[in-house]
Amino acid sequence: MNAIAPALAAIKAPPLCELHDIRKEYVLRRGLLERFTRPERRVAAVDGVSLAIPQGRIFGLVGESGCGKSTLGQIMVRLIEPTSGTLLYRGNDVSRLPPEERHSFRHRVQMVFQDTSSSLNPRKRIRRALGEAIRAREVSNGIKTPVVQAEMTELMRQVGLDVALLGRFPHELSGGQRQRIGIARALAMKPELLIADEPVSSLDVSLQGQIINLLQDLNDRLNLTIVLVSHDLAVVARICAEIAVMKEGKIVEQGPPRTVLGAPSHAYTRTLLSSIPRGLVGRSRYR
Amino acid sequence: MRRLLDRSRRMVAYCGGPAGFFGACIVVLLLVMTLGAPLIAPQDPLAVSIVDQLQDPGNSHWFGTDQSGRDVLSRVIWGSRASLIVSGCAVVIGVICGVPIGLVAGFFRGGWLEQTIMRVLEAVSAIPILIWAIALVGIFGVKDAHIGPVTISNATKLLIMLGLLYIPTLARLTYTSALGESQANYVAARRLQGVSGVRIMFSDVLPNCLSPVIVQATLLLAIGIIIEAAISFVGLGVQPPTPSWGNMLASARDYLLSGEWWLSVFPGAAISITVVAFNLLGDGLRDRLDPRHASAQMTR
Amino acid sequence: MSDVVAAIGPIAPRPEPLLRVDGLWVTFGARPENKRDAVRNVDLRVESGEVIGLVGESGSGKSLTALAVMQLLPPGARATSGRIMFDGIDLLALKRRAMNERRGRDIAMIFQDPLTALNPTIPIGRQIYDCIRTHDDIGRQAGIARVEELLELVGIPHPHERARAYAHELSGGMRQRVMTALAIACRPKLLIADEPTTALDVTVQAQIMKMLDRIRRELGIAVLFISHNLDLVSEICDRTYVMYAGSIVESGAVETLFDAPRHPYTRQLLRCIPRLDWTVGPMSTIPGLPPRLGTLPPGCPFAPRCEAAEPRCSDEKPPIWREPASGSGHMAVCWRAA
Repeated sequence: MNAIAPALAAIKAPPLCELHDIRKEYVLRRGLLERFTRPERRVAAVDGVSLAIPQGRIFGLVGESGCGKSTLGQIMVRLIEPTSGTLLYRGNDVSRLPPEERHSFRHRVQMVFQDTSSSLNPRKRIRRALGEAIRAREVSNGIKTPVVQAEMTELMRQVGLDVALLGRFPHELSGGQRQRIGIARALAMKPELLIADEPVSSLDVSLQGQIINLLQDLNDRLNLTIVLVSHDLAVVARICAEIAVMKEGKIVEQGPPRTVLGAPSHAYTRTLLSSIPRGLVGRSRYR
Repeated sequence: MRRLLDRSRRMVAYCGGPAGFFGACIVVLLLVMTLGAPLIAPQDPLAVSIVDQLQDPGNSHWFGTDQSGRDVLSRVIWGSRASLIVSGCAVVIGVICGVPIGLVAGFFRGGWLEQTIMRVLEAVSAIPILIWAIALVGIFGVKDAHIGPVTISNATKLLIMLGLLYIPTLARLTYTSALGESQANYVAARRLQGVSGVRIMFSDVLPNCLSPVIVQATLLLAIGIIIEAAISFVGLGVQPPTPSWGNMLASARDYLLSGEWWLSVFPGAAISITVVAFNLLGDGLRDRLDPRHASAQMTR
Repeated sequence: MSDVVAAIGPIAPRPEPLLRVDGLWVTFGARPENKRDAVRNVDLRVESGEVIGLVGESGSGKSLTALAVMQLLPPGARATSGRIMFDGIDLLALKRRAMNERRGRDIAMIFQDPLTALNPTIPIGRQIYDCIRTHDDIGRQAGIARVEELLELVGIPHPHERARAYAHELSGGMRQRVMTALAIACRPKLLIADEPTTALDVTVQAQIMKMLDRIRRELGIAVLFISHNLDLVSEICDRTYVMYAGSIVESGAVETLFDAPRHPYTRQLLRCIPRLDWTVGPMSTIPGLPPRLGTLPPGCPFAPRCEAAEPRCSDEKPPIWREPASGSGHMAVCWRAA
């Protein structure tokens, strides 16, 4: 009985974030003369995607470069506006928010970026970057400095970093440490949904686990919903409750990892799986 | 002794190498000369003395005297004021006006604002600065202008005009940096925090655009000195009897072939040394501040 | 394409190694205060026709080792000690011109980012043609024919039309193929591939690996394959070297290395690789950070992060352990290897 109740609760709970037929098109730029001779060409980075992100779980978005997964992630945090389609958050349409409510939406959804070297302002010490985030969250109420300090210490603890790093500049930290600061900065806004855009792609394999485990930990402890955008199928299979495979702006397959990656129904998923290097087992390819 | 060596080595590294350090030293000397002119100059640069006309450099006048008997050394020292003040203020105007323009164009890209700004800047910078300078001075004249209670001297007109002409260069430099920095993830992160665009532009993007601006400003100081000298040389700049290296050269023109070499050599050398010093300093700073350059990373 | 092979013939195997690196040290910084060793006492051996893997993470020195072989070290880095014997000649002792002749003709290199390695203003066919003409005295028609054969060999469809394309018109995988064609244009004996597929998608990576395998088979070229991806290396390589903090920590035949690694770093690293094996629980990770250049402790560089470390590991340099049975060549630099 006790095992069934949370499962039932999960089924009954509405999804945190829903995307309905999201499209994002880019118009290819034409030169001055071409404007008269060639018709307008559009490229669809996201081509009609509908997704439901369940609350409290880790959702995986996989695909190769150019498939639109990063664009989709940016649409979910509203860094980019979709060309068409609706974005629902907790059942409310946030695609076209009036400015007053846009601010509160900002706090609910945050993002962690792939490139650690450009995700932190090189001229600001970590203390300032985190402090600014905390103050930005409380901009309407105001917040006192000791409270900010205390929160900063707590954030560093949550991401497993020594408080002494607060006085450093980003270039003095390793890639993994910078990524954790990026997570800490996102957490400073107390979000409900975190989009992690290829958070470990630029890190060494031996250090990727630290970030992935941290995300899993945050999901467990804070009930933080996470969308993990990645090209690494094995990582996604490990921690995601549900995944979606994207190709050329569309979702080709979706479901629990066991189903999608264990018994794929779409040819593209099968191609992806067969291309992964398999170590000694894969030597048969070449011998 | 060791600490002195260490500190001097660090200062040299700070200026991007021995050449930059040398340039910095000269610039500092120049500043001292400009600010301390009343104290350093041995004689009154305007004191006319028919008796002492055209004297060779000697004990009483180290750089000799000019055709009105004025001490050339004092005139060279005081002349640095004209050069540095015109040049310095022009750069300040250029930076204060040009940097925000470039910043806005680079940050709010993709709209009519960016296009308009860049096209106007390109149009202005299509004509070389010296031509602009001569044309504008020719149009607005060399006499002091009176706007209501305010009197604008010719030197002031020159420096305002020069400053305006510097704007396209500095704006474009800032624009290029701002364009790149605005795409960075830390700007996106600030947007996600709900911070307004203008605030992000000034507090996050601007500090990262300043390095090339600083380098360019140093080089523009050098150019400014040359332009001031050139304008004064043709009689459109600082008017005599106020000494300026340029107008000193102008009045030395008649004596080039008659043997009074000190009238042209000393102001000319002053110009050359100053320009080279600023250039060396600018190059050194560029090496030091450009994050792509190896030496900038070595010092971290 | 078989005409290319037939015309020149396969390369016969030789008794002594094609490439032998002995005791290579690469150092940054000239003055004693800021000297940092990036490659420390590296020994490497590549026989003709072999595929050798060089595995390591960031800061391991693997790329610098390759650049030292090519004599293309970045400014500030110098090979301060050791020998690089290629075909019996010490490359470190060569004058620049002699090295230039060898580079491209006898040893070639392909890099991670093909876009910056190709000239953006010259069509790719022309770039390959220029490369051939630099080293071989060959007529124009024959040169063009060779370019098209090479493009076909690396798997570019419609080579005649594609030869006219510019680098930016091609996809990442295509560019990597062009760079490979450029590298093998003069039939080098050794091809160094520095993370050639790291910037590519996994499906393209598989195609490029197939291409590399095909090339080395048909042309008999030896390959030094540098990567951080152990699974990739173990698929294609015969032997592998594992580097950490500038030195080799383990080396041997790929099967023995991956089935029974002797060095804790290799073991721990293998455990960290995420696999599609449906295991649950936190991912394995190696605690701590790799040491910064110039701040190495005495003793084993991996000791601070090693799960099998003993007190003597931090104090004394570990000995080289070699597989007792001859021939397999498995070695590890560890106190606990036996």
